[in-house]
Parts: sequence; C-alpha cells; structure tokens
Amino acid sequence: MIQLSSYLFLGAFAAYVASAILYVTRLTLRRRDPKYFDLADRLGNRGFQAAVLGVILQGLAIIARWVGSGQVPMSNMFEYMSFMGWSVMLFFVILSAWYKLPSLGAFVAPVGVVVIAYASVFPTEVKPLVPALQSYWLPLHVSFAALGEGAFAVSFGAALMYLLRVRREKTSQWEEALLEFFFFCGAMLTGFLVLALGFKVAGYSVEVTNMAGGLAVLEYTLPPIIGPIGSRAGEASFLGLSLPLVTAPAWMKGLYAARKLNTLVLSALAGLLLYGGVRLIARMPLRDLGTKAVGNMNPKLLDEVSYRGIAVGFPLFTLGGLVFAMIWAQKAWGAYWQWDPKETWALITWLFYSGYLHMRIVRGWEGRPAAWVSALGFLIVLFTLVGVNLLITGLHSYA
Amino acid sequence: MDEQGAKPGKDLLDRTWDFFSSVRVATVLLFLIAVASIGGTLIEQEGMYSSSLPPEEFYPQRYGPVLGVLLLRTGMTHAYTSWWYLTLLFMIGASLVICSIERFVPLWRAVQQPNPAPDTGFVRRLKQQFAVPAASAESPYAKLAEVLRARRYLVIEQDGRLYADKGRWGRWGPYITHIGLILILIGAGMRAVPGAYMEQFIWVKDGEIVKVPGTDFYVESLGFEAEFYETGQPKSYRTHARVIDADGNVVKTHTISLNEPLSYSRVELYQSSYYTDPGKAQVAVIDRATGAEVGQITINLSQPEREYTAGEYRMAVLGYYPDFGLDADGKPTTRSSRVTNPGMVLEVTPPDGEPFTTWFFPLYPSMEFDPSNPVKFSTLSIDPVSTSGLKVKKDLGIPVIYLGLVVITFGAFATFYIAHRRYWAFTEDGVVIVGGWTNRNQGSFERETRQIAHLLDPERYAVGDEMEGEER
Repeated sequence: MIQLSSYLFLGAFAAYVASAILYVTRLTLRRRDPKYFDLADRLGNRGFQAAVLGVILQGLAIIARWVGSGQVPMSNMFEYMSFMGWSVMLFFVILSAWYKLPSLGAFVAPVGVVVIAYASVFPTEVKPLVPALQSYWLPLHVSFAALGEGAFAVSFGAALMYLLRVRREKTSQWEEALLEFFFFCGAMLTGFLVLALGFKVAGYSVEVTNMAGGLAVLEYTLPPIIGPIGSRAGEASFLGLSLPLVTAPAWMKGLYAARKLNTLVLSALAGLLLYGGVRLIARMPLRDLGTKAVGNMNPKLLDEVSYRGIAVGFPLFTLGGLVFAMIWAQKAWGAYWQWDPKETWALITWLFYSGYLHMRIVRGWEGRPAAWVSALGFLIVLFTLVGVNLLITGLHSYA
Repeated sequence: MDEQGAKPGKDLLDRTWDFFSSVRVATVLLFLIAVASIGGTLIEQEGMYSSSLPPEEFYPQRYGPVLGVLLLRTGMTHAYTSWWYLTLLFMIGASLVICSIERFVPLWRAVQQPNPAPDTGFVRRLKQQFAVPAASAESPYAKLAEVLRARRYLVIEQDGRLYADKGRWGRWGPYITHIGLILILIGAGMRAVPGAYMEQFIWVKDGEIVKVPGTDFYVESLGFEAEFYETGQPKSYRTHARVIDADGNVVKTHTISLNEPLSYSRVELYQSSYYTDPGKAQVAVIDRATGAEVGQITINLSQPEREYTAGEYRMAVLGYYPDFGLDADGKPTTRSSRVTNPGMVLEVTPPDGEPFTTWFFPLYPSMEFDPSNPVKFSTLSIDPVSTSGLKVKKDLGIPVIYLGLVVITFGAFATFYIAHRRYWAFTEDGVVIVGGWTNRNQGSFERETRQIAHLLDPERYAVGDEMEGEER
C-alpha cells in the first residue's frame, strides 16, 4: 500500500511538473505572437487538466499512505510538506477555475512543484508516532494549517505577478532590488532542490571526521566542500576533487553547523549558476523577464486573486494553526500557550496576515503595499515551516 | 477636565478614544506586535535555557558582556512578559474593545435595520444594475420577490419599494472575531485572579498516594508503564491512577497518558515525566562458614523496615542511605532521597553468638568492609519501581479561552465565507429598476445578478461568459 502510495505520489509530481511546464510554455507562446493564441489556449487547458490530475493522484496517494501505515500521514516533514504542496495545487485549481486566469499557473504551479520537491528531500519512510503525536488533533491541526498556508502560497504567486505587472508605474529602487532578490531566492531554492534530490537519487553519502560537538563523524549527503573542524582533505572525493577543501570556522559550534553551512554554500553556488545562466540567455534581469511574462494582465484582478487567497486561507489557518493548536497543546502539555518558537511564529504569521486584512480597509494601502505585505507574509510562512526547524529548536523539534 | 488645557471640543479622553478606534492604528499595532514577537524566538528565554546559572550571569556569558546586559536591561530575556510587549498587548486590547463599542450601533443600523426606501439616485449609482418590466400594476415586484426568495434572500416590500438581502452574518463576522479575541485576552488574564490559576508538579511512586497540592484530594498511582517500539522509540507513557477524596473514597479511576490528562474538580493531571529506580530487593542471607542459605528477606528500598528476620537471624536497620556517599568529613551521607546507590547499616543478631554491625549495599552485595563477618548477603533480584512525574494544573480561564476560540473560528469563517448581498428596487413608468451591493466577492455577486436578470427577462439579459482574467 505504501509502495502504491509512492507510485501515486510520483505520478502526481510528474503531473505537476507537466502542468507547470505547460503553463510556462503557454505564457511564452502568447507573448511571442498572436497567431499562437489558439495553441497557447489549448496548452493552458492541458496544464489545468494536468494540475487536476495531479491533485487527484496525490489525494489518492495520501489516502493510500494513511491506509498502508495505519496512521495519519502528517507526522513528519515529508508528509507535512507534501500535504502543503497538495493544498497549494488544490487552491490553485479552485481559484483558476473560478477566475479563468491561466497565466496564474505559470507562477503558482512552479511554487507547488518546489514545495513537493522540497518535501521529497526529507526521509520518506513511515515512522511510528511518538506518544505526544498520538492524537486525533494531529491531522486536524496539521491539515487545516497546511490548507491555509497553501492558499497563502497562491496569494503570494498572484502578489508577485501584480508587483511585476505594475512595475512600469514608478517603482522605487528598493522595490526593484527586492523583486530581483525574490527571483534570486527562487533560483537558490531550485539549486538546493536539484542538488539535494540529485544526490539523494544517486545515493551519495560520506562520513567525515568531526571534532566539534559530540559526534565523531558527520554524515554528508552532498559533497563536503566545507568539512567540520578536525576534518582533513582527502577524506572524501568528488569529481576528482579531494574534499573537504576547507573546514568550518571555529566559532560555529553547532553539532551540524558545518554541514548546514556546506549545504547553504553549495545551494548558493548552484543558485548563482542557475540565476546567471538564465540571465545570460535572456540578456535581462529576471524581473524584466517576469514583467514580460505577466504582460498586460488585469492588475485589479491579480490584486483581487491575491486578496482572495488570503481571505480563503486566513480562517483555515486560524482554525488549524491557532485554534486546534491551542486546544491540542492544552490537552497534551497542559498549557494552551507556551511561547514555543513554532507557536510564536504561527502567531506572527497570523498577526501579519490580519494586519494585511485590516490594511485593505484603510484607503491607499491596497494595491502595491498590500502586494508587498502578501509576498513578505509568505516568506514568514516559509520561515515558520522550515527556518524554525533548522535554526531554532523547541517543542516542534520532531517535525 | 480643564477646558482651557484641551483642544476645543476634544479632551484627552476623547482623543485617546479616537486614537484607539482607528483602523489605521489597529493595523500598525498588529504589524508592531508581529515584529515584537520575533525577538523572543531568537533569544533563549529565561527559564528555557539549559543552564543552572541565574540570568544575570547566563546572558553576559552567552551573548557577551555588552549585548548580554543590554538584553537583560531591555527585558528581551523575558520578551513576552516585558513591559513593552505587555504595553502593546494592552493597546491592541484597548483597540479591540473601543473599535467594537464604536462600531456596534452603526453596524446594527446598517445590517439589521436597513432603509428599504433610500434615494432613487443611490439605487441607480450601485455597481450592479438591471431593469425589468413590472409584473403587474398592483404588485410590480411579485416575480422579483419570488426569484429572490428562492435564492434565500430576505425580502421586505414597503412604501412601494423592495429591499432584499442575505448573508448578514458576513457583516457581523469581523465583529464576532474581535469579541472572540477579547474573550481570549480575558481568559488569559484570569490567571492573575487569586485562586484561578495553579501549576505544580508532583512525583508519584508506583503504589504511592500523594496529596495533590492546592486541592483536598489525593492521587494514587496503580503503576506507571512505558512502552517502546522495536526501534527503541517511545510508544507510550502511562500512569494508571485513582483519585481519592478527603474522606478516603475512590472517586475516579483513569489512565493518564500524553493527550489523556486526568481531570477532577477543575484540576488536571498531565503525564510529563518519569524515572525508574530499584524498588524491592530480594536478598539471601548466607552463613559464610557453611555457605548455606539461612533465609531470604525482601527489602523495600524506598522505605526499609526497622527489622528483618531470616531464619533465626535478626537484623535491625541502624542506618539507611538511599544515595550513599561520603561527606567532607568522610562520614557516610545520602546525596539525595532517590534510590540510586542504597547502603544500609545492619545490626545482625545471630542465634548463637554476639550481635555485630555490618554494611550492606543491595546493588553491590559483594562490597564488604569486613569479610570476617559470620554472614554475608547476596542480592537475588531487584524489582524496579517507577515514579511518574505529573503536572498539576488548574486554570479557570480555560473555558473562557475555549469559548473565545470557538467564537473566533465562527467569526473568521463568517467574515470571509459569507458575503452580505443586498438589492434595492423601485418602479418607474412600469419598469422595475434594481440596484445591487455586496461587501465582498464582487465577481460572484455579478454572476448572481446576471442570472436573476436573466430569469426575469431572458431576452434582454443573456447569461454571458464567466469573468475573463486576460484579454485576448
């Protein structure tokens, strides 16, 4: 059953990739020449169908994993992130059916693909549930939070498109730089995913001597360019290079600090390569490429979609991320609120989006400022999901 | 207040009120609190860091003398109870309360007591418009009212005009959400009320009866058990427990586990820790000369008896050290009350001969100070005994918090999933002119309006294409 689930998951992933490619191709064709409009529309329809197919397949994959393992598939990072990817695609399908906005697909479908790919970086085995997680609140808390975050991701895509669309009208230097930075981050994330998944599929793993922390050896799943303190060149090799080239600085005392730094540097290099490559081929900053892709879509509609994403996601996130979370915390730990970092970051996310929702009532704060807040809001969501686990430890450290 | 000191017509109270009733201020406050919450997640908070140092020493050591002291001074080391965070929370609380009071009457008038006959110019200026022939001279709105009622609109016909609306909850949604938040703030604040909040921790050994602090009842552990998966990962921690009231009656039996606290008279007991120590030792007393066993004794290591008898040997316990060690003067002492390395001084009276004293270490029976004693001991088995750590919690604010959470959920979904839609209609020269308004989700309202118009006059109003996002 779990095998079946992973096949279904793979099928869904393929469908999402196909959908993203179809949508991007559609957009590129439309920009090229009006004579391609019909072909482009057909591609758009196919892209939509692929997205729907992916959502169905992944839905089945989740059910199969549930039945196969006998526990709700929401207990580790792989299960959670892939569920979130599913919600991104689900909301995309719903909103694009509603608004007939196929160009959104070129921005949101890749976000869905990235989230799912990121999920696949984590170990996919089924692990038995630790006592704290054995509760029906687990699926309630996690699924509603993920559904809300999926809707926020769709809003993020639309907000980014809006910002690219309105660039021609007086955009400050800061905004330009930030937009370009978004693209660079996207490239870095893609770089990380390509590296992580590539080496995972290849089964790469080396152990390097480690004199920092309490571990004698540190296992690397990427080539150890930067080794831990105490490691020496020649312990590993990759493409004829004798690795590690350097050791991590002495002030990095964390148990896995060297490995995290290594991953970060490698991802940044891959991202830089990707970013530079695209930039060289396109011969323009990526934000200009983005603006070209967005073309002359209706900015009001983009603004509306971005708002709708948050309006739909906010109650879901409130329910999953705060209400269910607090009730469960009260039941499991005897305290509904403990200022645990994950808890606090969920509150920060919630406050930020409620700020956004109030902002839209105040005249003059809709449109561009709102789009920036929505884009920033999704970065907060990402930090809550990933950053808190990587950088800060707390009660959610099992996730 | 002094008239001359204040600006005309607005005294300080008025201005404070106006300040807190502004959406702009509320929005800024929301973002400010979001930003202010970040610090505490990055700096290890007091009581959370894993060090026994007091904060005044820990922070300068961890973050350097300058930053460390700065963090202490600014209250960053207890960010969520610092004066600036509490001030912000108090301000958002004030904003919530004042905005709610301020908006109630206008909202009530607008939603619950709508004007069915506004100026016709107002109706004409509404975004959604259509005009259909009057059904008949006496009741021009008959068909329109029927269609609207079928769509679950509340229809009011008055003074020759028609008003219809649905989804009033949608307008109340934000208001309800705010009331829920106020309830949560009240519930959280209730712990300041004496007697409403208590947090304690108790250790209950298997079989032991312990008074639950702050209450008049007792909890008895019928046994703690920890289960593990094959991988060594924990599977469950459980304490089988009974509640015994002041009169000694068993009033409740419950298995406490994570996610399943025991609840009795508004106090909850949560499984939060455990340890296992040597419990009962089965010891053989052996005659050293013959090597024959003279008898067996069972020693409860948590609480040994005063005297034991094995065969014809009598043994009086002169001293017991559950966690044996030597103090600065080289005298025996116990380092803690836990049974980690028990040692006891026994006065043994053999059936024939002089009584003598000897040391016995149940975990290390071969460790002897005087191997010339006529008897020796051998530990045959030791039963472990578990001690379960239970968190005792009483918080009378919980029901208020839960109510607040339910109210917030209802309010948030009403706000974003229910749209208030309203139509006004008047007649002019045998034509019914209809104007529509909604507070959100314009696109879908536009579709509904077109469908209604189509039903009333199919020739004039075709059901057109759905909204197109991109021009061709």
